[in-house]
Amino acid sequence: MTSTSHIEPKEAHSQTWDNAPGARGFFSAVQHKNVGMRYMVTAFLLFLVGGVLSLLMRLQLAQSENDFLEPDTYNELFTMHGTTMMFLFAVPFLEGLASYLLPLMIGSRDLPFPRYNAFNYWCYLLGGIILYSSYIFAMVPDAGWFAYVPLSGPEFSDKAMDFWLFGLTLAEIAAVGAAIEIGVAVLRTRAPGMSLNRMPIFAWTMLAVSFTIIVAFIPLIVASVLLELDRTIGTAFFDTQSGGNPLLWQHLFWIFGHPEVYVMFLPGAAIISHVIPVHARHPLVAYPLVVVALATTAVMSLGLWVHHMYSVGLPSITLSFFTASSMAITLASGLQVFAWLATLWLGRARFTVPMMFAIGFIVTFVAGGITGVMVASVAFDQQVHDTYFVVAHFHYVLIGGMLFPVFAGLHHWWSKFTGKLYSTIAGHVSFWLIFVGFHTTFFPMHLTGLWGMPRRVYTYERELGLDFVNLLSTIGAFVLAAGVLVLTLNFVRSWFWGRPAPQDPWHGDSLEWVADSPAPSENWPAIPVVASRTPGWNPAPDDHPYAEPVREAFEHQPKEFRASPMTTVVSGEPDGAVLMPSPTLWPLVSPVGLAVIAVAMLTQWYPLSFLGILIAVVGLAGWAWRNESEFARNDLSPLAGRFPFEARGSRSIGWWAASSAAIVAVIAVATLAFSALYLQVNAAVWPVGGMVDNTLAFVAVTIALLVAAVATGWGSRRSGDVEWGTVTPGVRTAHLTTAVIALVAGAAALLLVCLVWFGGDIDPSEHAYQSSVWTLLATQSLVTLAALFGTGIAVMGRLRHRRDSRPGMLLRYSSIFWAATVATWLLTWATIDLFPRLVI
Amino acid sequence: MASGERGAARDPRARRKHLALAAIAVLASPAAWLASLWLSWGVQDFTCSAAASADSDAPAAGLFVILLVMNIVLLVLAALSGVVGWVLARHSRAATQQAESDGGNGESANRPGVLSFLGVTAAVLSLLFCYGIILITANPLVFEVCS
Amino acid sequence: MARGRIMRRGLGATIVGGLLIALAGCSREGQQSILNPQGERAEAVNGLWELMLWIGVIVWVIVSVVLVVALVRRRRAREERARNEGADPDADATANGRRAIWIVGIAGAIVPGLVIAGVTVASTLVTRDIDPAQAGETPTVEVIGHQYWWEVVYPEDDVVSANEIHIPVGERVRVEVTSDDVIHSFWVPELSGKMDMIPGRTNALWLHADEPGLYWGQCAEFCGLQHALMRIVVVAHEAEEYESWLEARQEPAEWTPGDEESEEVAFGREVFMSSSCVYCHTIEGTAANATIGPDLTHIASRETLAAGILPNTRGDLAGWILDPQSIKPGNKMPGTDLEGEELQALLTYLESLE
Repeated sequence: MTSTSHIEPKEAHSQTWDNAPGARGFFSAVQHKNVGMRYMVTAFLLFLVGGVLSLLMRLQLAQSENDFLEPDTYNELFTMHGTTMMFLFAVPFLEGLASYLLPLMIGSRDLPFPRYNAFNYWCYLLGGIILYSSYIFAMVPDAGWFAYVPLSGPEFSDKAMDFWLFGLTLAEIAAVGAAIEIGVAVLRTRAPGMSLNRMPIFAWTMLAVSFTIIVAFIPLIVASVLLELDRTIGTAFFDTQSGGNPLLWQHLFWIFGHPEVYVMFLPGAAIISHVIPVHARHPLVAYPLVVVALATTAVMSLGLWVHHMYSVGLPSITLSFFTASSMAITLASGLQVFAWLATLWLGRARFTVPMMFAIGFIVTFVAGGITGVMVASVAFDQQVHDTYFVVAHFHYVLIGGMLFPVFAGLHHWWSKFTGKLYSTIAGHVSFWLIFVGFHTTFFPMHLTGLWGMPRRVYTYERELGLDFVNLLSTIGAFVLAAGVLVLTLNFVRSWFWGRPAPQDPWHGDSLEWVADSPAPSENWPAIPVVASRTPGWNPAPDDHPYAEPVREAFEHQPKEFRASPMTTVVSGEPDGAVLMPSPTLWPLVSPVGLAVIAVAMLTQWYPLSFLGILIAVVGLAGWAWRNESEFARNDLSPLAGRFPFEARGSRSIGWWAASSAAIVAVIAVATLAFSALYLQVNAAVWPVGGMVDNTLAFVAVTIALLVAAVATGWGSRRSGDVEWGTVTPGVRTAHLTTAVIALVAGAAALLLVCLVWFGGDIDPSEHAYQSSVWTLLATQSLVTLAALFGTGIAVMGRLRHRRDSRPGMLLRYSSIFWAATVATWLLTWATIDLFPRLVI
Repeated sequence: MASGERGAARDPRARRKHLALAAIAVLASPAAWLASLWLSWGVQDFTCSAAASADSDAPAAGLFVILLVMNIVLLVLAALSGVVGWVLARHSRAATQQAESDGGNGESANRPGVLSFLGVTAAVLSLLFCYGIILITANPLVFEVCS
Repeated sequence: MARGRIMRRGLGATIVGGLLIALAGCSREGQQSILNPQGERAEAVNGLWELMLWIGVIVWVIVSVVLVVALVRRRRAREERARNEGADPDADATANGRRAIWIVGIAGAIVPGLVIAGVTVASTLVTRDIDPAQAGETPTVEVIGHQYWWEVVYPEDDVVSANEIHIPVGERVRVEVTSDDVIHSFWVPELSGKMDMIPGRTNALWLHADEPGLYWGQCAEFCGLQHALMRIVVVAHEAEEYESWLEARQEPAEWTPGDEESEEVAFGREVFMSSSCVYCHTIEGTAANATIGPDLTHIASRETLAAGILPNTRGDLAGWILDPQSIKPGNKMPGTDLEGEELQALLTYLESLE
């Protein structure tokens, strides 16, 4: 693949991909393998911590009426165990894995937004630190990982829940960001020739998962904000006395929570879809059905949430709709299981460590799926809901369906990550300890639950007859832990002292096995061309039509800056290039600002939050400035004359970023609107204390926002067909004029929204209606502010760049976000003014 | 027929049209299922709750009809997308064979390959989601609306 | 292949181990087992469980057998060659690939689709049968959740009690549940599935017991520090017995004045009225009418103390009054500083409240 005739350009090219040395290099690294590895290491450490918490719980439950732990300690333990495993281990680990692997699998040199990737990691890390700092202040969250109100609300929980809310929100911001990153990477930065029907299953899955995350995780962020507002400024979203409703929290939480289960399971299944074909030496059977199955799972996961609420007293017909969806999703899992079985049937299995974990996965996950069908039944679930039967069920699907695959994947890709070999014997020992320990722990829990043991109890009475099964679970937990210990030591030993691994120890089918182990910083000195679903087994012929142009543009180049090809969504035709940002400290600044804001809220020393806001804003502005510096400095003429960095519309990677940001804003405000409508239909009277209906101001805001959107859209079109590198005075004037119009109109809209917000005498604590109005107006102000910021970047770009294309693109991005502000504003207006008139 | 398809594989505008159609067919049935579930839940639950919290009579009979008609329309839509996908898949498969027998190299042959893949995907997605919509549609027939 | 054997043995061991535990289970189940249904509601659910269990076991066994056979079966050279050709990039376009797709589709979706449809129908019918709307006309019991006890009200008969529900056998007693503070969940496994108790919202379920007896239940939604020790007991009576129980509860407890014991009772009553007890508890027929804690009008007739945690004996009552925080840390009842005579008199008084 690599040609030996280009020694010099080779060095020049790889040097541009090197990180800076020393501590600065550590903090400024943005390359996907650095960030992905950090995600995985951090998440794995937190996984070990979460595991220790569970061992303490198992010790307490080893016998009835045990007094090893105090009740409050126990409640803290299960809260932190669930929170850690779900929010700080499972999702971040998988996003880290995707961060590391995806570019290798799809033949790219980096993720499309490397700095944003680094930003997300820092948010996640700081979120985790905030959550765990609660141990230092002895204010450990204790209301459960699901944090049901009112128990987690202002009346019944102390500051501990604030640690939970802030830590979590930062981690979730990271999760949404990583989803955008991954989704755009899969859609737009695949290897030339990798059409949709040749995409690795892992890429398909991460695409589906990123869709799910964007739709489902934002409601959790919104819910956390609402709860925090209830706790700090006394809004009434969850307060039954003033029009709020505790069930709103449950809806929002599970609209997030159920998809999250599949966000964890689907990548697990994808790992299996990679491990089994390689270790059974047969391509994945029924590839199209597997793709259909994972897409179906991702979509249907958005319609299951009420099955966590079967016992909250909703009408039978409501519950039954969700039984229907929970049952239907089984078929998708069935397809995947039989695709794996068929692959094994037609192939010839090697009993390697990854294969053992894959086999353990199948038997365990199928059992968990079967109990999943059981709890999809309303009648049966009302019995076993919140018992150990459910604990058993979801550990079967999460440990069986996510952890076993992750362990399979770690053993499978270990040599790719580290370039080292691990001890196979230790690997098999750890598998058997984990497998046997797991089933000894969790199989008895089905019975524990059926015999009447509820979840989240620090003790149980002897009369319940649960001593034996609980003791068994405790013993199993320690066997499982021993297995994890062996696994960890095996990896640590191998990483530091292991024998070097060959480039492709398994003879793998997918692209990452073609790269070196570990891959060099730029992954692909020469970008691979793909002509089959199994490029590791069937590489593209040399005379492939894409081979020559891609070689000309990307082999050991560009030399002065980082770049990677861009390909079309469906066919994977190369149609452009992405400028890959270099290392910088800027993405670290704004997460620190966000963390400072969180600290200010936690210490209730509010002036500090202004410092936090300042740091965050400076961080974003500096980041934007730095980006444009690179666009100004580098020669971004189309590579090889045919792969432009600056093309119109969806042919530029920033278009995807702007659209994603727009979607995030609209989903967030739609969630708020949904919440208000939900409270309205469930409240006896709505609104209380007069409506906020300032029609004149509302119409003016609409017009101003429309003006901004249309002006920027028009201005950006003016530079549409210019040649690269030209500056046309007319275009320049159009850019600046329309941008200034948008700035003025947007500022006017912001001012009006703020006038209604503060001048309308809205007391957010009066009633849930006022709380909703207050929060919607605040959100609209923030969204408008963000749009102004975007236009500001476009102005900055226009003033700095000596060509029309890049400023035109920036203006285009800003117009996309202005369109989003129009949509969010219309949702806001409808919620505060229209719904109360139309709906009883 | 075959010659028309062959033309389609060569003519970029027709190909783009077919790809767009296939993409819509792929997305239609998941969208229909989501609409079926969210609207069935939303329309039923919000209307009944609003009526209950305002102490007024819920329009149960009207809701029943709305739920049924809406879901049947969505079911038909999902089924149609499957038919479209299937037809596209069959035609593009014919075109692939044609392209191969014409001695086209890997890449031009794969263009109809993507189309065929998307068509099959749309067809199978449609089957799964139709099944899901049927399970949802049956509920108002078993349970009382706004009980 | 040696590893294959180890693996098979491991699988077998897991299955056998699971079955052993299940067998042990039949003899060991305790106070509140779902598998020991004692009323129509729980029985309907248990029937559904048995159906789903058998289907589930069969599915799991089929998948496991297919898996094991797929892993160990020997393959002939010809197939081997076919397999290598199967590495074709667009394998699913070949005849072999298409056949494999059909097999996966039928085994993975079409057959499960039929089974799942059957399970859905069965589940839906049971859900309809146990719907709250299927409750009888009378009586109705209201249960209000508190951290960490249960207030029980018979609105039609003006009776208030705590931590104990009495029902007549053979009737579908409608139970309306709500909460005064956080979310709790009402669950008596041998009689019925659970129903959440949510502030600002009243949910309904019904209880039906085939035979007279005691049925234990427990709060099933995490409600704070002492969620674990929030239990409830349902007492099912024959119809006449139930009526007389209800009648007796409509009047304050009585005792005969004059004898030596009743003097102690009167003194105990004084102790009660002059201590902090009155700030939280009600005893009908006296000046004590606070509603923060459980109603004590007929406390002596209850099976348990402290929400199902202690047997209702004199010693346990004394321990509870003196230091409830050591028994159930975090509950809302403060300790009481009583000694000797006063404590004995108070206990005698409370024990007289039949």
